[in-house]
Amino acid sequence: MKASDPPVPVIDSEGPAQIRELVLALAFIPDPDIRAQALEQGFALHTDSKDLAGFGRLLLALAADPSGTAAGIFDTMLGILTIPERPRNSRFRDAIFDLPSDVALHTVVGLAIVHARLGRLIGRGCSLDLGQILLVMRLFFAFRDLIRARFSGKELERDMLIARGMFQILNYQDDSARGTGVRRPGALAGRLASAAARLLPAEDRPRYQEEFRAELVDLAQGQSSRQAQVAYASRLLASAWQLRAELRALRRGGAVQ
Amino acid sequence: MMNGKPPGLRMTLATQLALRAMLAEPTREMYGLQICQAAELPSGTIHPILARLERLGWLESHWEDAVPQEEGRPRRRYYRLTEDGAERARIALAQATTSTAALGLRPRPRPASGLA
Repeated sequence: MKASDPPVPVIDSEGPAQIRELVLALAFIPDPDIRAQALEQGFALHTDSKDLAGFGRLLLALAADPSGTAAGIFDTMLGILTIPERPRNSRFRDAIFDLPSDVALHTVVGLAIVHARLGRLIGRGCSLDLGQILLVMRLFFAFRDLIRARFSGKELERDMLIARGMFQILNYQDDSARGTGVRRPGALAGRLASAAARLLPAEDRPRYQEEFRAELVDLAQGQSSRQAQVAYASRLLASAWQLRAELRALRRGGAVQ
Repeated sequence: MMNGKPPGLRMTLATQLALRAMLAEPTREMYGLQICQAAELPSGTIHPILARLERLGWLESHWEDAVPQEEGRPRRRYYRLTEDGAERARIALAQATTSTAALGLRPRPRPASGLA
């Protein structure tokens, strides 16, 4: 690839763990607007510095900040936002095709998320640069098509499940201000717990669906805040791959190393 | 195999904390959230550990005998150490404590009681 070629968005091979960390971090942010901005910045930082894990930790720290300065910090960080340049020729497509599988798969996920976010921002009348919107859309469709052509459905399905979990977070409308008594689990926590169960082997899903739901109800009836419920469900989602591996080992009668 | 940890058991600190919490009352049945809280682990992280211990035969689990419509919530899944599992857990923890103490990583002792 020549130096003059547009940069290829890079997500390093530790993508799955980092994406899970980002899911966890985003779930802690109560303000949907800040959450949305964070996701866009996360993608941008990831493509620029390959440090999504660090970004996830930063979000966690900001979300836990009781002083309420997170919004101001995010505004500052918004200045960092850059989106890779538009692909102009087949050389770019070739470069994408040569990416390691994890890089390519997680790039698809990242682009899909940004794509979804942009759609929502446009719907809310936000002022966005049209060129950037078109670029993200083009990148997303180009990557998606290439990935479909290149990889088996298994890995893609795995990553798209994570992506769908993130969509659910993005589409969540924070209703924590409604009322003070919490008796039923929050909708977002419920969806995250369901997403966690869906990652498990089919034969184990009903058991864990019910088990997770029962624990969420316990949390809710114990007056846990919706944020605490979301944190709980996010951790379920984050540890779902490990649980899945254990359950598969159980079926094989072997051990997980 | 009463000596040493069985193949496939990673005696992580989280696993040790979960086992210690359950060994505080070995015959008591607890559901996942209770074990998390008794072990002072972050909620939502216990299920892979429980699945591993269940796979090894150290734990057994069952649904609570309750009607969800009457209780107003889904059924809980209760876990309990098997007799053999409790014994193995004590041995494994003793060995793990020896190793972790040498590294200065000994887990804090757990309180004897969990949730109601």
